[in-house]
Amino acid sequence: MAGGKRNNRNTSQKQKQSAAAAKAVAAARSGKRDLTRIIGAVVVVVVIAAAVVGGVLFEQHKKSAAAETVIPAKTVAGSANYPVTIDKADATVLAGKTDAKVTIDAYEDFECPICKDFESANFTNVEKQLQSGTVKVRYHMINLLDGSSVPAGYSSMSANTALAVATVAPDKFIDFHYSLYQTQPEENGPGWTQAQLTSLANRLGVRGAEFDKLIADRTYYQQIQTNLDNASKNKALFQQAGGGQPTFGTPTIVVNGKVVNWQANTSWLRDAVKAAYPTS
Amino acid sequence: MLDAIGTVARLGLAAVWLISGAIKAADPNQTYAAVRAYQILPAGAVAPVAAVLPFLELAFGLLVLVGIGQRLMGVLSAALLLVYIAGVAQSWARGLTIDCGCFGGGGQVAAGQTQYPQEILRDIGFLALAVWLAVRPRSLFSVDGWLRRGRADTVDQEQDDADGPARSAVGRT
Repeated sequence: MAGGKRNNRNTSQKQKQSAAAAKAVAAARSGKRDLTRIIGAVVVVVVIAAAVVGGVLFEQHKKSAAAETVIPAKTVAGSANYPVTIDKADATVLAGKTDAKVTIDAYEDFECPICKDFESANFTNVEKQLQSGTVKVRYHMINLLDGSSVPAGYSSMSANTALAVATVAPDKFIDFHYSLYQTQPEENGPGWTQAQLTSLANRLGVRGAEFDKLIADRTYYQQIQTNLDNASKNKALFQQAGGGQPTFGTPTIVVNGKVVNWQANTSWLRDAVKAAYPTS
Repeated sequence: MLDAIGTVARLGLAAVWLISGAIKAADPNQTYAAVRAYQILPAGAVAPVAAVLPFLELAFGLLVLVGIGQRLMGVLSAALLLVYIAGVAQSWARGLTIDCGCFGGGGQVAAGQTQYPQEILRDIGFLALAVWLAVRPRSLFSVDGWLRRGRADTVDQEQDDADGPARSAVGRT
């Protein structure tokens, strides 16, 4: 009986002991599990915070890098050989001799990369025709891509500045237009600031109270928007883009009232001049 | 066997985040266009979100790849994927014609060229991987496993690793 009791006690002690041991192991184990979880959570938070901070810094670096760009001022030597006039009410600029038989209407946006492509591919030839008096170009600078810069509105700002240049110093407009396409900001990136655009105009010799007021008052913004709205409704200007319905886009190049596909037909200008001046 | 499935889910999800994050980080302007096309965020918020998103995805990819905080990462991944799915769904519902920009690209597309059902199905596939990790955050070759084992006695390894079920059992007692 006694032995049995002791045995029982032993057993219960053993059970107690092993229960305590099990508890300790469990506690240690769950402590370990907690620690693992805490380490995991801390690492996750730290890495994600680093990623967010990295993204913000990257964005700021991009912005400041763009803000530090000085747009090189380029001059177009031959542009003194033809007149440039602004139609203030219409907010368009006409370059070339008035009796030129070929009229090109160019709808462009300073933010638009394909407009830059157009300028790169055709500038030299257009310039040649402007100087020889066979072609005149009416520049419609519009704000189709206002939403594609950070902050939004580079298209309006650059068009207004170009029109201000044309108002104060029409003979510098071609230089300004050319310089701005030579150094175009990235689409969907930070555009040039007004200070950068004004600096370009200043370095081209355009400055003064009248110019500053046109910039400060955003004089041409309203008409630029009106021109975009009208162009977007004008089916005669529509082009096929991608697989969808024809729409208005930039650049749209119109020769004597008809839209030309300058990408498909690279001799569009030569053809137009030949048609207008068959003998030369 | 389940751990092997967990490992596949983990590595698959890591690949999704790393690839999509890397493509987005490589072309920040395109990412900006893609985020803007959803027309959800106010103008001022598009740029910061577009700037942070690629890095966030890369961070997710890295964390999931090494397998640290697996349950948390499963939950966070699922949350981000749900946001993406909601974004695509609202574009579809509102009749926007955009590309989701999930793996690069993004922005406006022609009316006939949207792929909303495919994009949502694909994201749901990814969501399944994330949910698996959230529900059963156990996989082979993970930092979580290494942390537990490295400082642990080797007793009852199996039980010890059973993070999820063990915890719910403790909770009940």
